[in-house]
Amino acid sequence: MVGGIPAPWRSGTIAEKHRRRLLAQPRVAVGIALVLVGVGWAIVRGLEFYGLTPAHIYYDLDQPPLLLMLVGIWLVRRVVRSR
Amino acid sequence: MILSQIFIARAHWLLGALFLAIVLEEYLPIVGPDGRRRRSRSLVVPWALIVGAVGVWATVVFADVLHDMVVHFLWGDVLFAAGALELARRRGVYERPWLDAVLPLAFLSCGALFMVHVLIDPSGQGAHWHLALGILLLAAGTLELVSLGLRRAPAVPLGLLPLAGFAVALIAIPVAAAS
Repeated sequence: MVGGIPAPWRSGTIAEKHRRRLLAQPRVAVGIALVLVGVGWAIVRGLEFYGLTPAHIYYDLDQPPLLLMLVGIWLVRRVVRSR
Repeated sequence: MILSQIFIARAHWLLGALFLAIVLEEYLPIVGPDGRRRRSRSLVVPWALIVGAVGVWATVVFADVLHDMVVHFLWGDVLFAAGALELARRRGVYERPWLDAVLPLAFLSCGALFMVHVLIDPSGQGAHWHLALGILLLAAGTLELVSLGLRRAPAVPLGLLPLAGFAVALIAIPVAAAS
């Protein structure tokens, strides 16, 4: 306690608790795992770059490592936004 | 209109990613502030099923074999019906106890369609992959139906593993075939 104020009111502790609670969510763990698998797969398999026209952007994103990363990021984002 | 192999592969791994998102959104539990696990009941899942159904129906146009057309058409019907019923339930428009069995029965039906596909054309391209995918869906549907009858819901949904395996296989198999 500091000056009668309980320790948990210190912002660092609340942020730490919030982060730990977030990481304890299965969705966050699976989402991060998917992103890591996607990154590893992209490094091993390599990625193609088709161009920047709308059709080419679709081909750019429609590659399995990127799709896995997108699903992982989406999962984590849904948990963070719902808090 | 006959599509190139790479185009077919792209469609399959995109569908696989969509299905992976559906499975994880629906079956990964959410841990509440009190530490209790609960299932998600978001609207994303039924809408994604409906979008998937439209995508599967679109393949009917491009299929070059009759049984491919019929199987994909029926597959789209199953996905659309499941999505529509789940959407009605989650919006509170139609709530009945039997609706708990909609998703498991959808997985069982899709698994059965995979088996029919293999039975009709056992020497067709990718028959053993269709068999594996069908078995995964049948297992998932069966396990989820079993869990409906359990007194306590399991901490990890029983169908999560075979469903995730199906989705990952749907992504990885066309990659191997296209390489």
